[in-house]
Amino acid sequence: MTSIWDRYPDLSPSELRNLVAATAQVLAGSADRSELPADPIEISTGEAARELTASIDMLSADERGVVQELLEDDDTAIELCHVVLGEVRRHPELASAVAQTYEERSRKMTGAELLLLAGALVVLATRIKEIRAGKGGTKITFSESGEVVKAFLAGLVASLRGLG
Amino acid sequence: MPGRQAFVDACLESYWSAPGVARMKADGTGGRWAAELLTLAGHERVAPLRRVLTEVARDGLHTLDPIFRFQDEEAAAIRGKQYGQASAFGVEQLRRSQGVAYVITLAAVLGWAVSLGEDLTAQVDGMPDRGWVDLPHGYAKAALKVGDVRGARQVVDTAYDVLMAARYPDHPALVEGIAAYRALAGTVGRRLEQAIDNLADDLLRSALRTHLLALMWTLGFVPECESLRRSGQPPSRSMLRTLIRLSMDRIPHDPLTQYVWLEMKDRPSLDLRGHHFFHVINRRYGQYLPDATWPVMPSQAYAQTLIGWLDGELGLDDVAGYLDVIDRVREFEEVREYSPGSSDWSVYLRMISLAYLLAREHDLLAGDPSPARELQTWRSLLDQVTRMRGRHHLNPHRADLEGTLNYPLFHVIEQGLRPGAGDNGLDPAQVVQALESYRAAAMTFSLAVTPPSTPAPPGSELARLLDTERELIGWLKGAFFLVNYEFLPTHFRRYATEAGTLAGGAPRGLDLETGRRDYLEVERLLGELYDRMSATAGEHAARRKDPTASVATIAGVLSQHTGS
Amino acid sequence: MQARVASHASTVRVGDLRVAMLHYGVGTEHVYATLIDEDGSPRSTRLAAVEQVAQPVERLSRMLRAPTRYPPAELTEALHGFSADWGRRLLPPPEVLAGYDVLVVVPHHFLHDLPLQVVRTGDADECIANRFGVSFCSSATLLQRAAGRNPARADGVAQWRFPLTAGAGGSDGAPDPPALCCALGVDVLGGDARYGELARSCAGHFPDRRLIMSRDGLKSPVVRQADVICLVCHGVTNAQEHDDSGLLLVAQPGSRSELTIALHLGQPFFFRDLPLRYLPPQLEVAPQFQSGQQPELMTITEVRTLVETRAQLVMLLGCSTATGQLRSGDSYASLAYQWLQAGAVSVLGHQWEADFPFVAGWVPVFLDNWVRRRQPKAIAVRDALNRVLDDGLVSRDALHLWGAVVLLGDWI
Repeated sequence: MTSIWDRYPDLSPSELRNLVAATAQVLAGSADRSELPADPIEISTGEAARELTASIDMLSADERGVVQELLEDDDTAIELCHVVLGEVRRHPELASAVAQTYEERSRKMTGAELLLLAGALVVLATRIKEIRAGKGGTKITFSESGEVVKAFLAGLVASLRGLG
Repeated sequence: MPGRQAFVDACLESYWSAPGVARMKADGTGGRWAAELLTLAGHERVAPLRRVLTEVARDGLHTLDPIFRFQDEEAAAIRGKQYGQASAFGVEQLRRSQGVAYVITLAAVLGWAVSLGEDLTAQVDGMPDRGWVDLPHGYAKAALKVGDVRGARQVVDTAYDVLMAARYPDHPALVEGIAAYRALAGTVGRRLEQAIDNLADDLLRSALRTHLLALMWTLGFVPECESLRRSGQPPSRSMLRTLIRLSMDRIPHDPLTQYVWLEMKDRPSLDLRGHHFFHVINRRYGQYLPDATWPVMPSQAYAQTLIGWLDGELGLDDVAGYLDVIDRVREFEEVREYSPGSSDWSVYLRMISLAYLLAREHDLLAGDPSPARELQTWRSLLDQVTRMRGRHHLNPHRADLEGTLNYPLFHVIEQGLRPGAGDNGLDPAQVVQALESYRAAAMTFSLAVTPPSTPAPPGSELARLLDTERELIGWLKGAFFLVNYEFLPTHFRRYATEAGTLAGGAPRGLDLETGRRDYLEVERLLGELYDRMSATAGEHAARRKDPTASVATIAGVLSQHTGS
Repeated sequence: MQARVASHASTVRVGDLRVAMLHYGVGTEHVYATLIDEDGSPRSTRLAAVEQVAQPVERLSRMLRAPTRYPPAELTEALHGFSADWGRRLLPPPEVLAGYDVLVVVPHHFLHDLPLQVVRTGDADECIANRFGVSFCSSATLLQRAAGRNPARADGVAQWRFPLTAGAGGSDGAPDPPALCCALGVDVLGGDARYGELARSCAGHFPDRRLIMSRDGLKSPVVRQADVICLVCHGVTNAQEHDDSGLLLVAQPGSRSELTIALHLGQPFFFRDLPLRYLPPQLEVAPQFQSGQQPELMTITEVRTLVETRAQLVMLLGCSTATGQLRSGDSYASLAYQWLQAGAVSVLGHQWEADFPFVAGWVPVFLDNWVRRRQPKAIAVRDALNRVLDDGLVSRDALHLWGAVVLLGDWI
């Protein structure tokens, strides 16, 4: 059976949005809720930026606006999502859970996801330390992946300092 | 098709509303954008726009004078191809300087719009001007970058509409452009959703819970507001998003909603000015004349009083002051429809409903303050609400009234159905009837055009009357179509009528006033028909004259299958 | 109070069915339900304080409208909490409902969004949808109008007998079954051919069937006369301009059809039948619809302004076709209700996302119940749900999969 990961990263924009949504759902559902803000997938880009600048040492509160712009800009938001998805792929059980969620959604007679949930995805990826995924509830340590995402985000912010 | 001025206004919205432009203005001539713009103004690709770009940089965007001068003195003489080149150059600057890109693409698109004049949306051999493919697209991209989501959406929607209305939208010259607008529209749609979400989250964080309850009350979420008032909880994120969407739609016609928002302006816990929708909230619309001419603005008095009441901080003097204002509002209501302004009767209803609640709480009611009398007051208001709603389908130019007419209904239900309510002179059957009357008023058209099935022997008098009814219903549908015609999309009106008419020549009288006139006339004819029908098909006629369900008719429907 | 129909009966006489309406009213402080039945004496019950239910209602409604914003387990948990716990506060006591076979539910205000059909009640603690025949209507006035247009009621239905259990034989004295079905199935977003197959399969239950190929075809004379309309397609919701929400269909290849509209009190005018809104630009369509047969949107406005139907049943087999937005006059604006207002007797829709495998498995059973076995629609829906759940198509606990189905309008 084919999986969305077989085609990744050659996805259409709507496939990418759906994959990001599925990943956010799996991350939010598999982590310890006490680590996360309430309704983490619902948070706005502004709120996500607030969370990220508060929780990432490499970022200061002054950079909240810049982070928000990065999350809202289609190009940089896609870049950030690919970094997270790349980290998710490194954990086969997690990737498999995401693929299954993606497939279940494709059975629905619904329209495509119109929003790219970059803010929610990055917050989840940087806050979650451990996840249980797969049939056996395999424990996956995600904190290292979270550090990769944090570093990428901080790098993007740094590259924008002084521009425009 | 929106005229040139509407398109120009959409492009200029960013100057007034975009947070990025506000920052550029604040930096002024000393800003990095101004210095870069001065440098790039010398580039050959923007040569025709050199003077206006230089002037904008030297003016620091403090005024639009350079743009207006350019439009008046230079724009018409520049060719479309030159505008296209300049716009493309502007788009290339996006990565380097959003501000520079914004100014260049704005000057290009405005100049191009002026150069085409009244032919901006015209078609030549079935095709729109080539500039529609690139210029609005380039500008909208830049506008998004400086934070003008609403203006960008209007520009993209207009451009998409123009291209799709081409006789040959499959023409290679248009296909790529249409695809580009589709992609950009996706971006714009997402940014709009993000803007709503961001404002909702900021409202949630603010210390303005009571103001938010006031918004809920004003927009008709009365039970929800009352329950949060009692529980001390804030509205949910989902509710806040709904309030924001409804507000943006209603504010141009609804001063009460606007003034509640204005009470949230410049509060320490909420930076409303930093949000995309601030411009909508802060603009003057002239909805309600007394707000512009009276020493005490009634809408502001309403907002402040409502917030104070929900906060539990309203004193007797405050109440008395508000009631004084309402006395004048009551007088004005006699002449409101003859006065300038776009507000509707829901403004009066909400003001008077609040006045009644306050008067009751503070024992200031004139006359009998008994529960029975109170219920009578709410029933009387509900009757008026029902009458008002029954005509709204002939006002497609107005936003839906949403929940702004709901107040009396919630009170009638609560007081009519609670245990012991019969003592107040209202029983459940009457409550059901009142609610159904309100609902039937909202379905006036659909009930009129979907008659029940009534059998009639062929050739009988009843059969003839039913045939006449069918014909009149067809006319009523036509009149309803006319009422809505001016508000149908441009492409439909441009092409739909080209199929010609039986009478020959261009279709005439395709407008709201004609539609309304025809609709009321056909309604009158149907009324006469049902009078004639009373003798031969009394039940059918009665149901057509008053289709509202009552407990008796409901019981009839629920028992019809039993044969008894 | 005992229902007239004993639960072990193999056939049932329609005239013996007891039907009640639950007419809801949300007041400033409480939620009320007025029960109305053939006796005509309304009985009101104060159900719950608004304070107890308003926020859970909002939350559940949000989760059902935007399921991708919540982990799947959370949505399941929320639905079960509604079904087994706080949802019960929104029903009269079980003993009040026990005497009825069919419930017609007329919600009010924030209750329009609620899937009351999945609330558990009664000794067997069954969901409403498993115990009763259920139909919803946004108002009793609309229900009354729908029933008045139902040809099945024309000659009296009291002696109509229908089988309840499989193998119990056929019906007797039933009105003529619906004859003409017009069906359209298209997956504009994913290009899934099964949508068209399901539409054809639904149409196959009727002696006279026409496959409709385009949006404008839904206004053709044959569709106006159809007894059943079956649409298997995606729905699109426009949160900002709700009347621009609609069904994702396709254009007729080649020339456009024309609308003849009588204007100015009877003068025929011709208009090209163009969609009132272009496809939302941000939607990506399947490759086969990017050239050739173009996708088109049939909006709520178009149905309101230009569609008429006499159908006994319109089946809107797509996601959230029965979900809408509350407008003034407590008018619940959804695709499904718009078809009801356009003249349909009943509409079948979904209150949230439809699961294609479930829909494809359930709908044929429903149609067999209604068309061949001649069960009244609400009973056909109930029995089809129970049968597929007993057969294990999906688990009874999977409320999010089977609970979305709703019948609107007349229950017969």
